[in-house]
Amino acid sequence: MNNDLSLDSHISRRFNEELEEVRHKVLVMGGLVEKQVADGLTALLNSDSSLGEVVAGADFEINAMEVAIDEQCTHIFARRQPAASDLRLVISVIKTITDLERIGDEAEKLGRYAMPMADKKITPTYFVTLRHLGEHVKVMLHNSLDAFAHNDVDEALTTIASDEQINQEFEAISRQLITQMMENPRDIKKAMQISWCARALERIGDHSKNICEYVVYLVKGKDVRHISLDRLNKRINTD
Amino acid sequence: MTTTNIEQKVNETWGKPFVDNAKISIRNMDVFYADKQAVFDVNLDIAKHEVIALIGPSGCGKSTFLRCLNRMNDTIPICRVAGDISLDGENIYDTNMDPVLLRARVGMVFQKPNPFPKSVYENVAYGPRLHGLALNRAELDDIVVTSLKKAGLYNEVKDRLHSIATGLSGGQQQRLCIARTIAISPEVILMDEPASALDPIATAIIEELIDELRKNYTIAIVTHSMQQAARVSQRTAYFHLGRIIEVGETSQIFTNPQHELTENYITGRFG
Repeated sequence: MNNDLSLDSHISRRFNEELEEVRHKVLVMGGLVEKQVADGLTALLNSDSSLGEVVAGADFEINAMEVAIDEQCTHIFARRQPAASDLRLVISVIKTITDLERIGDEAEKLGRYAMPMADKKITPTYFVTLRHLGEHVKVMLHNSLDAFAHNDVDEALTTIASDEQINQEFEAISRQLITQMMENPRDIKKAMQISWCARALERIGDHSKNICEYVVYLVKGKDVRHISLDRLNKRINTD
Repeated sequence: MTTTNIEQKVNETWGKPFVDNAKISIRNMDVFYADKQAVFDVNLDIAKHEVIALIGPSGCGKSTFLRCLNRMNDTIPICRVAGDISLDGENIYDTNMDPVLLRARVGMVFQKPNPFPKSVYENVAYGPRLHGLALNRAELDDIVVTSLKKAGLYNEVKDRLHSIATGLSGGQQQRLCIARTIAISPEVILMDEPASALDPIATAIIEELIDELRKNYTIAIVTHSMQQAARVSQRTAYFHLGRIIEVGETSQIFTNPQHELTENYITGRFG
């Protein structure tokens, strides 16, 4: 079976429109979440407290989209009783928007952390590793949304695999921060705040990975959550 | 997928048509109405105590297939059945097989409730009396009451057992037909769209009943309601132009069908 979900080939044209609309809204929400993450990271890395405030205040829009899409999915269940790939699409959408909303929450945290950290005039050297991690996470989120947009299992699998690198980077930052805290106890508070930011970015990576797992479920009908990469690849390759 | 690919793929049945504990085994079944072939090379097992749903568009051969399982098509002179169909390993089209006895073992419930224009009691008692299953009136009474109870109808009709059956509601009439089928202790029950003429409440009662009956009987049900197939059956077979395209666990067929034609049908896409 190919990756084309043929959303436009239902006998009911209205059903085509409903599914397409809900998919489109997920992508719009994804775009908004991406922007929030990018802005949150910029606010943090540039010590821009006003941008941080904007990010922290903009989360309501993402929450509202989650509620609206959820409601639309409920209507689809009630009216259409979707089956097979349609059912998997609606399930994937519901789960994807939950993860997107949580990514939005993490972005909001970045914005909130940016404000006090800007006041404390933390030197940019503290941010070097964070910047690196942030760039990776942004790419991962973008790729996961791209995989969703194109029902691209290959891209989803590559993105899932890349989460390991994010985790390793997070571990490295944590180790580095612990060393700094031991060497310079007066910087513990600053180091803790950077650690929370790194944690937020690492969580965004986890949520992006989840989205990719839903893409695999959507296209292949296989549940690949909570399994190792090896088992995942085996499950994908067995029919 | 191109049309050519689909044509190639309809010639084989996808999924798992065979089981270890088959009650009915169908091998290489072809059915013809005069020169016109309605069913093509069907291979399928129906397991003991399972509900198997047969789904597919109108005219795809699922009712024809179902009627072959208790030789109901014998009554159609132009109908010819080829291949092997066995019930517990016994060929039902063997010349020694008495179709009347076969139909006592493989009962049938039709789309439209068809009670005899007799009393509720007589409808249920008719079969046991014909097959000599009761030695006396007390035994017959017992069969009637037990069958009505199994069909979930007894409490509603216990005070009017001797009233005319056609006075019952549609849902009650259909359950009466099920009681009539059960009364002669069949091993298999064939159901041809048993709830299509019923309202949602009566449908829910019939579906609940099917689930209950599965403990004692093997059931094959033809239905046009995808949700009904998903609710009542353990396995589902998809028919298309006289062939079984795909057979599998119902949960798999409705969440992740492997064949594009199955997917198109159950999601309401142009096939």
